[in-house]
Amino acid sequence: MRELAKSMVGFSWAVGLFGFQQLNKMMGTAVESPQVTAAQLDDVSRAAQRHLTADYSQQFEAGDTWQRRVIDALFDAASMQSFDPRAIASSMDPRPLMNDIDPRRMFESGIEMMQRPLDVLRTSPTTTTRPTAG
Amino acid sequence: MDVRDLTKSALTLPWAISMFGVQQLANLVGARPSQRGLTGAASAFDSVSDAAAEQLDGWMKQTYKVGASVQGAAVDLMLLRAPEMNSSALMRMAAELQSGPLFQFIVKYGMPPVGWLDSFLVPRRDSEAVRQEFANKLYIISLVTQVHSALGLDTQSNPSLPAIIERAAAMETFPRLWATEGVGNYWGDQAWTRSGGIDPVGLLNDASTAALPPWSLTMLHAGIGMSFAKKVLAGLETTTPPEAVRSGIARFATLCRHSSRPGYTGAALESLGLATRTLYPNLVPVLDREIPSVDRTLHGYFWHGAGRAMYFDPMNMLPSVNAPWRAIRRLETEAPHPLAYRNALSGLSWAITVVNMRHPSVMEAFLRHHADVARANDAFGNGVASSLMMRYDTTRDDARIAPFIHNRPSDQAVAAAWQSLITLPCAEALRATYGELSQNGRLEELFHDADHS
Repeated sequence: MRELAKSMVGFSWAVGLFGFQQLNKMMGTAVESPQVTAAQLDDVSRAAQRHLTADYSQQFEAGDTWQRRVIDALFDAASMQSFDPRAIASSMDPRPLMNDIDPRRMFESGIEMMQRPLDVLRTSPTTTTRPTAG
Repeated sequence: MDVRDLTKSALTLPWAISMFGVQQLANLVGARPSQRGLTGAASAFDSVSDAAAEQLDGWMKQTYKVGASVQGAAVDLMLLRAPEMNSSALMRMAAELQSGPLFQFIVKYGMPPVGWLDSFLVPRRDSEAVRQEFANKLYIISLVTQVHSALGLDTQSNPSLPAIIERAAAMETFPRLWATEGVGNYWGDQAWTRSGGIDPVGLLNDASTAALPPWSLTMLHAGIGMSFAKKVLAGLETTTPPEAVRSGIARFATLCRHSSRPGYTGAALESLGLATRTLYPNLVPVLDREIPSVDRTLHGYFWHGAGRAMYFDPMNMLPSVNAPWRAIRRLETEAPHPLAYRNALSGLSWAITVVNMRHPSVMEAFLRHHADVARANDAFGNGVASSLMMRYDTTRDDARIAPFIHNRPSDQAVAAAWQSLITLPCAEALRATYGELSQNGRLEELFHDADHS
């Protein structure tokens, strides 16, 4: 438990500092090309992805694909490359994302996540002893 | 790739980290807690932390290392465990910051109340002694780190070494010893600057230093050794090939020999162990492995210095983790062979003696717990006696030497241990051994366990 606590604290420290550094670079206070900054961000994202199970990985991919589509649409609109409101609306349409993520499954997972510790407590051996005669 | 891709990557990261967090939470609460599950989660967190830390540059990387060490220690303390942390990054940062006002402020005003509060965690019988020992260590740290301002040393004026030592001579006897070691270190650092990075020679043995008083020589040699060691160690890592490590050791030994007076080289050589154990503790096993094939005489000095450093280890510093002298246990685990153990024990007792000489109650408390270790190995007596001879050689007018040797503890058992382990051997050392070493130009013997090195 001690090692886990240390790892969790170290994780938030590392990711926090990394985020701060990348933000600095993106704001232009540090001299680094956008390619390098993006590659560093991708490296850390991939490291986190490697620890996702198939279910979570699918949900991650769905969310990521959607956000990338939205970014494309916004950038295209901003640069007037394709000002087609229908295309923009379709790329921002969250229904495919909802299908992939499947909110019902997420809700069930959440309920299960809360249920299991309670089950563990309920089924753990009781420590109370019955009074015995004599 | 352009700003669009950068934006996508920037948004992917928090999404990935969030999913990762949810996944780990699900893993942890979704099953019965098992050691395997906890270890798996810890290694998952570590691997993402490593990936992020690998991308950090410059001071951010250093900040991450120090912060992670401090946080890890905080977790240990919260779980009522002795903190386990690699002190090398912390110590190197402290060494870089030590002349700054923040470091001085912390040492002067921050640490004393922390030590005072912490001493309540120690059994009452020892608390007064460990509180005093903590104060003594802080005093030594502030003396060593403030030597520049105390002696008016700056980079603008270039006084000669004998002139600086003349200023040190005006100091009170107790701080004079530490100031002299600090001057040696300063003189070594200045020599690197003057030579433009070329290995300096003749620091204490050329004509310009002929006027140095004999009392200053042992600690000046120790000081230049520290400067040489810092320089050489900065180029070594645990992954450095053995040939390069051996070449670094040989370079250090040559630097010391080319700047030392006959009979004092050992005082400079000993600092390699002090610097390594303090600033690069992960290099201690590497140097221990390679030293014998380069310079066998250096081995004992190295471990003596390492023992001295163990005493000042920040992890042993707070009263509650110090008493009853955890360093003695660490020494048993860290010293890989008898020569290392004997010299490290000698170095440790050397340091306890010289730091706490003004307060014999500290040594009394030490003997109350560890008289058996001291009796079992005459390296302890060697360290105490050598330390007193070095103190005598440097400041023989110090009025505290005799009261320390002839101290009479009230506790019968401790009094008996004091008599046999300190009074008799030290009185004999000052009466006969010191004169012999001094006349024969062998004062360097005070810096290792000469009988077994």
